[in-house]
Amino acid sequence: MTFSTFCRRAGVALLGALFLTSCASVTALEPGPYTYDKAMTIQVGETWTKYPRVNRTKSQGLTIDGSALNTLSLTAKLKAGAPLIYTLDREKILPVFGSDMLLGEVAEFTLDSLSFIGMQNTTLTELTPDQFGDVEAVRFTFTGDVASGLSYQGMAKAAIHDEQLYLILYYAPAEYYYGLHEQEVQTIMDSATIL
Amino acid sequence: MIRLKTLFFGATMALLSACASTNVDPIEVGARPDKTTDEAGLWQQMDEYEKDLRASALLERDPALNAYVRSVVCDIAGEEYCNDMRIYVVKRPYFNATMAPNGLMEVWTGLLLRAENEAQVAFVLGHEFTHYKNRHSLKNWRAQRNASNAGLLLTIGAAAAGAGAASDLGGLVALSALYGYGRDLEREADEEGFDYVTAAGYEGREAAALWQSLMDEIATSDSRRKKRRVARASIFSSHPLTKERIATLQDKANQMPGGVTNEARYVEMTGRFLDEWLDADLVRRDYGENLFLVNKLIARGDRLGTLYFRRAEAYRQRRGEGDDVKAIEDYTKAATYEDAPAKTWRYIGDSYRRKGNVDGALSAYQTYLEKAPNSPDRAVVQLFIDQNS
Amino acid sequence: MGTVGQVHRQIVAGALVMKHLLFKSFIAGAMLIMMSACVSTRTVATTNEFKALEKDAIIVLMEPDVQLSFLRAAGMREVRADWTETGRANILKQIETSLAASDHTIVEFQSGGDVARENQLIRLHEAVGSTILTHRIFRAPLPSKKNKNDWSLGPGVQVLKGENNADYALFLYARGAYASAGRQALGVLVAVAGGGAIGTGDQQAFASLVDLNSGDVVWFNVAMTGQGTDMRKEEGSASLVKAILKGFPLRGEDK
Repeated sequence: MTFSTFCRRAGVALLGALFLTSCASVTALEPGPYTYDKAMTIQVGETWTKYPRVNRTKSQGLTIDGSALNTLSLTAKLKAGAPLIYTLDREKILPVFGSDMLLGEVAEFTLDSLSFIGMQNTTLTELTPDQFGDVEAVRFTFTGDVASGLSYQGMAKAAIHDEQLYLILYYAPAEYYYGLHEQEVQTIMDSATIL
Repeated sequence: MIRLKTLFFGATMALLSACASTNVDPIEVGARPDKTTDEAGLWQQMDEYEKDLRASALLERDPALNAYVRSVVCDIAGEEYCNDMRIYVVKRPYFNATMAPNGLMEVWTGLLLRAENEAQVAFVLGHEFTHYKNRHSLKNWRAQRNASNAGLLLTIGAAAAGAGAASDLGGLVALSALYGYGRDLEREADEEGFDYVTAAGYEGREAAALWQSLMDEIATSDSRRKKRRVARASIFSSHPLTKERIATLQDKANQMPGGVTNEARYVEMTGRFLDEWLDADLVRRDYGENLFLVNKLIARGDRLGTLYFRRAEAYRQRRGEGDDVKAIEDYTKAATYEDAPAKTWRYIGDSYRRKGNVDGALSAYQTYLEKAPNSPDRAVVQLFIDQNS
Repeated sequence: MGTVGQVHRQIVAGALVMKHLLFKSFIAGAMLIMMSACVSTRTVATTNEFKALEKDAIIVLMEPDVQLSFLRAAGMREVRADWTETGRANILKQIETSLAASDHTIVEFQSGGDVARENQLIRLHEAVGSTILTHRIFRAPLPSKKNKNDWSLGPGVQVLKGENNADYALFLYARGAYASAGRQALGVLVAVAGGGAIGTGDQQAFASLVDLNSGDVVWFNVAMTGQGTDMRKEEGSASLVKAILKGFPLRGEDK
């Protein structure tokens, strides 16, 4: 990355932070149970930074070391026809959730969505059956790269309940950071239930 | 007041003297700009960019494809200039190629997907080579610089005259001058590039055919915004109005003897990437354009297993009225060809499963696991088989 | 250079991620405004457990990213290859002099062979550096970190030790812009006409020091020097390096 990318990244994160803090505050999520959007519960073992929920994508971002170094995102009650991400470039057509998706297709939808926010070459590395509380779910892992060339690893857990998507998505640089909180994220995913 | 006038005069003179000539000679083979020039600065920035590009995950590193694209550039530009250029195939699903002043050329996979033959790609590469040879980046930079200086001058003049509202005008005039200049350079690149390409023996009519095909594709886009933007290409668009462009190229081609398209070689060199490139294109979720491209390739008749699979993928993801039926038809058709990807059976299985046809799903899933025993989704497919047999 | 970057700020689940081509000039401009509002240097000291070596540390200087521009009358920045070369050489020399005075050896980075892995660590450092910049220099809130500055690149950094078996890696970014005569005249004119300030040049630098055993970022600094300093000249580069190495933890007297 060149200096300008460096400045840009910091600048964007800063503007984003200003933007977010002006609308609602960034708060700490302390260890213990957490209920997200009255729809999903998880058990958190470390202190996370919690960004405000984005209504359009029904999602909330969390991080420990900074969002470029680890991002955990919680999504609950995403309806058919809604995107997982949003962009200001309105010429882009975003991937949208479909309630008749099979869980393997949810993984595809998640990885394609990530490509719109700069994650390139996303590759599914494993897709296994799982439970989201009592609901049938999948757990999947993936790899990808951002434009600078930094490689990322990710893992996610997804279920469809009442025709709506429930998703816990985690990604971090493969070098050092993914492994740093992998156990914590595993525990969070294991503990997740749908209300 | 006199002092202010003097100052204004001084500033005006300084700004005007800063206007650099945009008349530059074509670059010479092996030339490097003098380090004290604006051109060297442009080169240096692109050298830095190139360092990053070389490490980028977006580079298509397939040696055969890179060698092929490079050989086309060398045919058009000649060996000597070719030695001054580095050509990178970049995995971006958009119709584009870029040229930097230091000889860095990017050829995007979206262009290779859309071109129907070597002559069409050659035309774009000839266009980019003209940007390089005629040092268009430098001309453009100087034009921008001069335009922004002039714009600033107008702004200051207006501010000094106390006419705040007029200051926007300066910006607008400067802006359209800048974009107009870009358009002239694009026209020059079109026409001169055409000459290089036809001199290398390529069929001139393919240049207009490429643009026409691109227009046809955009007409099928699901993005109304995109269609509108292309339809109202205005003074601010840097590429010449496409209709004018097509007509000019058509006229030039009609005055030329015919040439080669090298379609067979092109199909051979690019065919094995079609699955990947169409998949990357579908991530854009422009089903109209994706189906246009797949159908065009199906009409060509090569790699039909891959292509029916790709068309089925577009229908599956679009989930429109009747798309589920079209998808299963195409998956089934794909399965009759040797080159159908293993995933074809995975999705045939999914389709049966959705319709409650357990036996159909089981049989397709079993074929899938036989064909792709190490697929990452094996455990999920196996679970269904275990629960239902 | 045929394409023009589009602006997209995109949000995934509340976390901001950005695309390759962003509003370059806007962000750079915002940076400058922020920078000039900041005090001229701001050091981020580590809260990692860190014991400075007594002496004789080997520090590898990662390819310093320097770029100097000509600030045109209308505010356009035109990169100058010759100034950049001079500025980079001046800075290298100043850093060498400054560190040699405290018995440390500075060496330039040479790849040890595993280029892909080295590249990942350099990229990771960029991600970590911009995170520190965002949350510690610009103070965007990050309550999960409390007040700790314990960012690290992890023990994978050992691949950067190279054949000199270096103890630390020093990363450096520097930018400078110097005004044209036209712009200087303009600065006076606009001031007289009662307008706002028109900058006539500036220099900024970021530096960080990474422990090549643990990967911990042991020190991070941002410096900005205003008009009148010029890293194209020896004195100017000396004052910038002095500012950027302020509080550098390996200097004997600062331990």
